[in-house]
Amino acid sequence: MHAFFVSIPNKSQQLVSKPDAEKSRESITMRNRKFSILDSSDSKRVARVVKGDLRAFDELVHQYYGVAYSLAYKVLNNDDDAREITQDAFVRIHKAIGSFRGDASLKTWIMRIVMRLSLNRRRDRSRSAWRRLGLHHDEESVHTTVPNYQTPEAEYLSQETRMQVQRLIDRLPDSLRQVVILSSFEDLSYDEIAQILNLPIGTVSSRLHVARKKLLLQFRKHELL
Amino acid sequence: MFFGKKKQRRLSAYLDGELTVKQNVDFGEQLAFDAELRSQLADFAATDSLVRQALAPAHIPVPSTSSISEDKEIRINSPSYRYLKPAAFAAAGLLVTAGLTFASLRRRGIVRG
Repeated sequence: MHAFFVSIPNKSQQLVSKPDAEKSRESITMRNRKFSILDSSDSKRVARVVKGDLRAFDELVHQYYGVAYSLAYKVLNNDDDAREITQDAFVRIHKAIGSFRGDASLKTWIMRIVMRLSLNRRRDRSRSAWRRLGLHHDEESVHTTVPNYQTPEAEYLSQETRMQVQRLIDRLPDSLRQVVILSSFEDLSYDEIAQILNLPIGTVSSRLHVARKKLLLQFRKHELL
Repeated sequence: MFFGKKKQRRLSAYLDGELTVKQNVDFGEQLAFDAELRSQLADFAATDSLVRQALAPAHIPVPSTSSISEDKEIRINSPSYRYLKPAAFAAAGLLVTAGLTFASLRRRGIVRG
């Protein structure tokens, strides 16, 4: 999933004159020093998938499954739903990959599809009669999963604290929650979050700041911090 | 605890590594002389850490590409299946034609079976 980022500037940036180079260096943010460009192996792979090469598609799935599943899980907080959405997303990606123009990174494009599907599922779920009656069981299904790869972040928090924090995040307005979820992917820049949510960068920045303040107050109130 | 709006947003951007190199140096200087700002930065960092830990899935399943590849829509689009479909139609057509010819020849008594 880190294949999109290279630590050296691309050719066009190396060829600019010195004053311009100074300027462009100044405009590069600390996080974006890892230049986000479409990796040539990705564009080749996309071309192979478009031609019907299933092995190329398998490679693509292996590369992005983790990030897609994590995003779906973070939005839905349910393993079964996250698996289903990830599967559905890759089926759609396979169908639509011919329309991928490469003006955003492949990862951003995939995350945008996963985000949209997950939000739709979340909306449908909140409308369901089970949820209205309070008979849903979101968290339990997590424990029925066969562990394939234990994430290091999940190891430190007690189940009770985890659920309490999740509930507080869940109470945020949708617009703030979406930004919080995406910012929890450490390698996503404001620019990429803005692309995924189709928002201006300034909006992402201000929403994230408001969400942080709200969460901080809530975490203190519930003695989580 | 609360500073000017601009400083506040810059604090978040600093935490997220979204400041330019120059802004980053300037803000680093401010931090060095402002204990309250440092304290809020630490609070935001702790908030982020809690959020990351709480949101992280307990397990990330291994991608079951076979289950995705077995999807009907993908299989139909794959080259092998794309060519298999016309071949199957052609074979069935040949069989029907052969059967009808054989029945017709048998009725005329040309062939005995």
